[in-house]
Formats: sequence, structure tokens, C-alpha cells
Amino acid sequence: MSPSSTRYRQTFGPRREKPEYLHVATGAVVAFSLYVLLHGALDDSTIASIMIFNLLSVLLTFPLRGQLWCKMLWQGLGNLVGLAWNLIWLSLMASTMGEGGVFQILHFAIGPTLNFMWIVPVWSLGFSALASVERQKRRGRKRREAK
Amino acid sequence: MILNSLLTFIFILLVLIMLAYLARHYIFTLTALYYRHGQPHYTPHGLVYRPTVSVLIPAHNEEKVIGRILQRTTELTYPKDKLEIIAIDDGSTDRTGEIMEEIAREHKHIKVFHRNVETGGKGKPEALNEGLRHAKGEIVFCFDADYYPQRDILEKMVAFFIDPEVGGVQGRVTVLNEPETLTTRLVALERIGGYRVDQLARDDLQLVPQLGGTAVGVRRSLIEFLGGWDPKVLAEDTDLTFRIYLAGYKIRYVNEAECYEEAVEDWRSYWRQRSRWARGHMQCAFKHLWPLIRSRNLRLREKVDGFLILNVYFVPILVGLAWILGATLFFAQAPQWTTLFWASLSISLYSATGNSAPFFEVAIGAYLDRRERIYWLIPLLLLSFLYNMLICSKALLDLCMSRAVGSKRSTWEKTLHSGTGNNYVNIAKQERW
Repeated sequence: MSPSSTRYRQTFGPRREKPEYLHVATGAVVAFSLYVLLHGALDDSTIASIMIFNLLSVLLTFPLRGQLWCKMLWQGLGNLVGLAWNLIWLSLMASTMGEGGVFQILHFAIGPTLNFMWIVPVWSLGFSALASVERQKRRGRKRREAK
Repeated sequence: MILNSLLTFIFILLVLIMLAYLARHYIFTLTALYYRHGQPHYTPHGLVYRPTVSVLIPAHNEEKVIGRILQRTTELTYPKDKLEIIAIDDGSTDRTGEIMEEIAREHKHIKVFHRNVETGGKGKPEALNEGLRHAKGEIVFCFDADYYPQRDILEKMVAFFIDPEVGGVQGRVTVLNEPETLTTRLVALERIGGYRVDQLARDDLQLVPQLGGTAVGVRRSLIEFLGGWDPKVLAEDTDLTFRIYLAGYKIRYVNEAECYEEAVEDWRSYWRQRSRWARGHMQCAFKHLWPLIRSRNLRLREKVDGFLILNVYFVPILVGLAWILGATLFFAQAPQWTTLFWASLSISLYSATGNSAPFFEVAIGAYLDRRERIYWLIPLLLLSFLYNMLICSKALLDLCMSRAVGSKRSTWEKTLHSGTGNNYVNIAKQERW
């Protein structure tokens, strides 16, 4: 948060990125393979939420500068969390079938929102990890240059 | 049956509106990240443009912060012979006026104008109009009392006025007291998304960058031609934005011209501030929607963006409405295909978080700013979205009520500032930024 030091500079260019298309393609292939693998084995809402997460990762995280392994690690972790979340949620619904369907109503009314309870945090954490790895790389580079 | 079809139609329409906002945010995010062919952010031919400038600083009971900004104006790098600072004591009952006079005695370019308690304190637009009457600069800047600008902010913003089509310029607002409370942290996130991504993308795509209430520059000839700030509108900044565009001028956003604000620190202050914004924005929507659609001075893309901006404070209400409608339709056994829209609704939920910036826009903004530990707060934006849902609903009700009873003027709810930003300014000064 430092103000510009050049007094009469009148060229202002905000920072831009160059998309990593190869990373995007890799992420998209992983996401599509997962879809093919899981489709039919899981219910529609689980598939939908996992695919929303993958879409977010592929379109917003993978094109950024950073290590591919880090991006893929968080994509994999996110898919696992999503799978676990939905399995727990569905088993809760199945075990309360005989209780007047209250849980089913809840599942319908707030289910989509609750899915975002894992999608957004996991995606944000992945983002944080990516930024952190990049930061460490930058610091390492600076240290080497200083030496 | 007919009722069911009608409800289904409304539901689908609502979801489509929200998906339009979602798509818009996504386009803005990608633009801020990758787009390299936006409008030029430089003054051509290395020219240094230095017109005369008047800086208006309206203040009503701001004794805790007014000294900070006035002191800062003495440190601005803009040539002092081309700069005048106009401090407007807007009927303050505390020491604001005294502090202004004390600082003005030491610096010739600072002028103080007092409004008495009877006529003053009725809102920022009136205080700004008072300042405008005394302004002599070609360009008029406006800073709120709780703000702290960069030393070279005027040079950065003034450069864009070399283009005669530019009527107004907006700088970037960054939160000064970010580590103070959870509220300030969330406001900081909203600001990152709103300025670093949203405003920048609008500028790049030549849409409608919005004027905020502060860190704003306007041509004096233009604002005088437009009749000054409208005292009947609570969001005088949004109002001015659309009046400038309707008059055939454009607005530029300068990301590098930063101004640090003291954000509200608790949810009660957040409610007061956002209620005023929401009501003001809705007033602007009623005032400018039709002229915007009919105007020949705006291109189609500007009209579309303007339309979406004007309606942005209705979105949280529409999300709530769509939620209720979706659940009703489900229990009324609507056709299966509405399930698709029901799922889309949940995706759209986050497209309306906070002050019109969704979570991915905020995250990308933080990434571009090279922020390190702010991402873990992003899920909490859902809190401010839910809060905004209530704020906007209440604001709409209030506005409808005041229209029903024929009241054209709204009460200006002042945002209270505790002055904690001073601590951060002191730390920053020690670190020499």
C-alpha cells in the first residue's frame, strides 16, 4: 500500500495477467473425466455442485500464474470435499426419511446455498495457497538476486 | 393453473436477471485480469497537464478526522499556485470549524467557509454546492473528511481531463483501518472487488465507470452547467454520474490514484451508511432509467451497463423474492424443468454479495493487488449479502412510503467516524509511504 513515488509520472498501467492456456486445458480435461466417471454413480445435485466447483477452478484459478501441481492439488481436494459433503448430506436425508420429510424440505430449500458453504471456502483456500506459493517464489527470487 | 404458469414465468424472469448480473461480473473479472486493449491510461506525447484545481472538503461534525485530511492537503505535490482547498464547515456543533480555521491560518491556499447550524447539516450535496460557489479552479475535486489521499493523487487524476470529452474522473478507494474489525475487513473486500475489478473493467470496456462520493474530479464548467449537486438525492455521486453521461460526457477511472478511507467499524454504522446508499441509488433509478433508455448521447453498451448499475440495489431483493417463489413453485408441483432455474438461482446468489461484487471478483481483485491473507474472509461475504438483502428491502419500503406521503426530500443519515484511521496514518508515516 505505498503511494507512487514518481512525482510527474503520467502513465498509469494496472497490472495484467497472461492466461496459462495449457493449465486451463489440463484442468478442463480433469474436470471432464471426473464428470464422465461420476455421472450415473451420484445424484444430480451432487454432480451439479462438484461441477460448479470445477468450473470455477478451471475458469478462474487455472489461467492464473502459478504452479500446475498446486492448482491440481486444490482441484482434487475440492472434489473430495464436495463428494464427502454430499454423501454426508444424502445419508442424513436417508436416515431421516421417516421423520415427516422435514429434512427433505430443508434439503430442497437451503441445499443449494449449503453447497456454497464448501464451494466458496475451498475455492478461496486454493486461491490463497496459489498466491502463497507465488509469494514464496518471488521472495526466493529476490533473495537470489540480492546475493 | 394460470396462476402457476404466471408464477413460473416471473420466477424464470427473476433468475434470468440474476444470471445477467452473474455474466456481467464474470466479464468484468476476466477483463480486469487479461484485457490489454482498454482505453489508454496515460497523457499523450509526454505532456504535463496542470490546470487550476479546487478541492472541496465538506464536513459536518468531523472533529476527529478533519485535521488529518486538511494537514494532508498541505502535503499534496500539486503546484500550490494552481491549487485551492475549500473546507466547508457544514453547520458543525463540535470543534470541526475551529480546527479548520487553525490549519487555514498557517496555509494560505486553504479557505474555510462556515454554514450556520440552521441552514447547514442537511446533507453533503448542499455543502458541496456552497463550496462550488466559491471555487475558482478549472477542475473541482471532492474529498470526504475521513479520507486520506496519496500525495500525487491530483496529478494522476487531472491528466485525464486533457481529453475534452472527459467530464469526471474517479480515483480508487482503499480501506485505511482494515485490520480494525470484521466489518472493516469485509468492507475492504467489497472495495477491492468494486474498484480494482469492477470500475477498472468498466473503464477498459468503455462502459459507465461510476463516480463515488470522494476522490472525484469534475470539470467546474460542466458541474455548473448541470446546476451543481442535486440536494434532493441521497446518492449525489450516482446521480452526477448519470447526469454527466446524459449530457454527452464520459467518466474515467484511475486505478493508480488511491485515496484511503476510514471504513465503518460496526454493523450498525454499516446499516446506516448502506441504507442511505441503497435509498439514494433507488432514487437515481427512478430518476434516470427512462432518460437513460431514451438518450442519444449514450451507446448501447453504455445504456446496458447503466441500466444494470441503476438497478443493482434491487438485486438482493429480487434474490429473496426468487427464493420464496422457487420454494412455492416446488411445493405447488411445478414442471421439472424449473429445477434447472432453481439451481441457477443458487449460483446467482453470490453474484449479488456485498456492494455489488461477487466472491470471485473480490478474490481476483485481491490477487491482482498481491494480497496475501485476505482470501479466508471471502466466504463471509455471504453475511454482508444477507445483511444487504434486509437493508435494500427496508430502503425500498422507506422510499415507497415517502413517495406515498408525497415527501420529495429524504433525511441524510450521517456516517459516524471514530478517527481510528489516524493510528494507521501515523504508522504509515513512520514507514514513509
